[in-house]
Amino acid sequence: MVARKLNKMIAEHPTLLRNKGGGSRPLLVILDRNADLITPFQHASTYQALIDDLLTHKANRVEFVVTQDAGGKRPKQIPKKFDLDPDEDPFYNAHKFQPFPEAIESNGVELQEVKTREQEVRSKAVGGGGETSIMPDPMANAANDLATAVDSLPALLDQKKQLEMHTSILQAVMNEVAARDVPQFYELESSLATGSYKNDLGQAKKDVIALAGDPSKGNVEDKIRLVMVFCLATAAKSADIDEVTQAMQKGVESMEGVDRVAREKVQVGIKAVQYLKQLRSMHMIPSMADMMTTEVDSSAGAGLSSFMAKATTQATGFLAKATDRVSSLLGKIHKHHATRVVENLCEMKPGTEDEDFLYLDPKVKGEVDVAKLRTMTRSPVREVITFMIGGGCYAEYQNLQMVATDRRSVSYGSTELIDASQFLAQLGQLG
Amino acid sequence: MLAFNEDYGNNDTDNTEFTLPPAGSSHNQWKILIYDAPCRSIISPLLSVSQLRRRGVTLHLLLHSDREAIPDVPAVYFVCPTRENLARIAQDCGKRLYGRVHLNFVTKLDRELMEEFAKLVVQTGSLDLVASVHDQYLDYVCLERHLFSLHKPNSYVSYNGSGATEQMIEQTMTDIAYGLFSVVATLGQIPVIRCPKVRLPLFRKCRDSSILFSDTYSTLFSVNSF
Repeated sequence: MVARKLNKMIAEHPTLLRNKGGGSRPLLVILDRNADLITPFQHASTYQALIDDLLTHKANRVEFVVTQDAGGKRPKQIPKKFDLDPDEDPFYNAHKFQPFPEAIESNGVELQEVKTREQEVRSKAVGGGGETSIMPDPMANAANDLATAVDSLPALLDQKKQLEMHTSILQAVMNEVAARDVPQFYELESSLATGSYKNDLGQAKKDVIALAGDPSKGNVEDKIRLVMVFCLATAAKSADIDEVTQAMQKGVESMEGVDRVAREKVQVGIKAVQYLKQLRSMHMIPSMADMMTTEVDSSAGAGLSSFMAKATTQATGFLAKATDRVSSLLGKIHKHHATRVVENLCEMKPGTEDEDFLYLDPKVKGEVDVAKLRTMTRSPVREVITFMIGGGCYAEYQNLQMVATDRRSVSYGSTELIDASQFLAQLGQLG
Repeated sequence: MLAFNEDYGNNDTDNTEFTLPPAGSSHNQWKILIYDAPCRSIISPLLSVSQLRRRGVTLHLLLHSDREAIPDVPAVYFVCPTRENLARIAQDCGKRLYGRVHLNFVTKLDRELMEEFAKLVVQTGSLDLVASVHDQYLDYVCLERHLFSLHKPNSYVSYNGSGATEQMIEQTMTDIAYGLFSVVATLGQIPVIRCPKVRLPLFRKCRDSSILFSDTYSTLFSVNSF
């Protein structure tokens, strides 16, 4: 519907059509959230997605509370606020899509580098031409050194400031990750989603109940999300889902300091599960088993595990502990629904969405027969815009970048950017 | 590829060029930016206060707030084309708060509203103030070079809820299409659009089952059939 409306709008727009952009045209893929409800609920493992999931993150601004002097008599709560610039900030730009431990490591390394260089510059500025005395013209050389050193100092300090900002964000994320046992949820959820349990539903149920029912693991929402993923990703019977939901409820009840808010959240969660059950009964949810074929990037996997060993030796202080706990965040990288659809469309693979998706071209009246089109040679796709109706999330955005290459850029948009709790609240309204 | 920042430059009064002359000079004069809340969320991830200043924006104010008169300084309005907003702008013009006024609408301004606005402005005798009116087609929030959002809260509920009527769904889809049109307009290139077809057996199945949902889904699909 949206596609047709848009098609008409473009076709009827007086000036836009006349604009003859040379080269290949972008591909706009419009998808419905209903085709993949799992992704917004799954826990994430990459830096940016974790920021969005665990901290307050809105319009590129991240907010969190730091508890200072935690062991002391008067722990202080200090709210922090940072503006992130994903395009200009070199560290963020380079590491936002990376697994979280990798971001921690790079942060440590880069910060160390900057500090060393700062030291060098400062010592030069102070010490004058100490080492340069063997040079033919020590004075001139020293002056030169000094000038360049002083010039580079402000930039260096800026860089340092930026990296330190990321250190504190990383630390805040880390605290949440550790407090909520995110890696455990992440692991179980992704093995559910990738169909590792396909032939062993009983085991899947047992594992989910064990984690959701354990009052020491995760918060209320983490548990609900796990149940949602179980409900979406497996062919479990309604009775099984009820059983899991009850276990989750029990787990929450026996958590420390359950209050009204937590109970309300559980109610919302149960309603959301109800909604999913209704969808299931109408076969509105595609069978997830074949939706999420794992495509393990073997090279990445190997690279990551060897890197882990390195990271633990290099990281210091809290980060060393951190890498230990999040090591399980690394592992299989699988392609989400949207990513696979986009890949199939871009590469025009036979027997995939490329054959049965609608093909609309505002320059052509009516529908284009894809079958006919497939017999012709089509120019490769250089630009893709993926648009998700019904809400998108950072995890999906990051996952889509797997399809991006040097010669193909992938943009991502959605009706709104939601995190798991917002999406949960929406589904809760429907149940 | 989606060079939103550069396109955004069009929004300012007179500098479409990317290398900006120093603010305050004749080509990049000082000006006031007036926006409403949705437009603020569009601008804020794109331009910081200092970047705005480089573009000659000295003050940025919300439309529906008490603003003092600053005659002689041109004002750039960047707002949603709503009746309420237009009435307020006409009121500003009537009071001659600023020098010349440049109007930028985030999406298409309906003819009916435009005529109404024109009437108001003529009535207050301030027509000479209005220097330009533009539809900017910027009805989306760009967070990163490759990431944008239409900022439509509760978007999943709006078309999947059992309370959603056919008309509401239609309206939602039109809004989304407008938003996407903005994106396409910014790109300046005409895309090929791909989307899933709705499988008919599925549609029949859900029509025949559960009463609660059959309404919404059958209407969604029969109207759309994508």
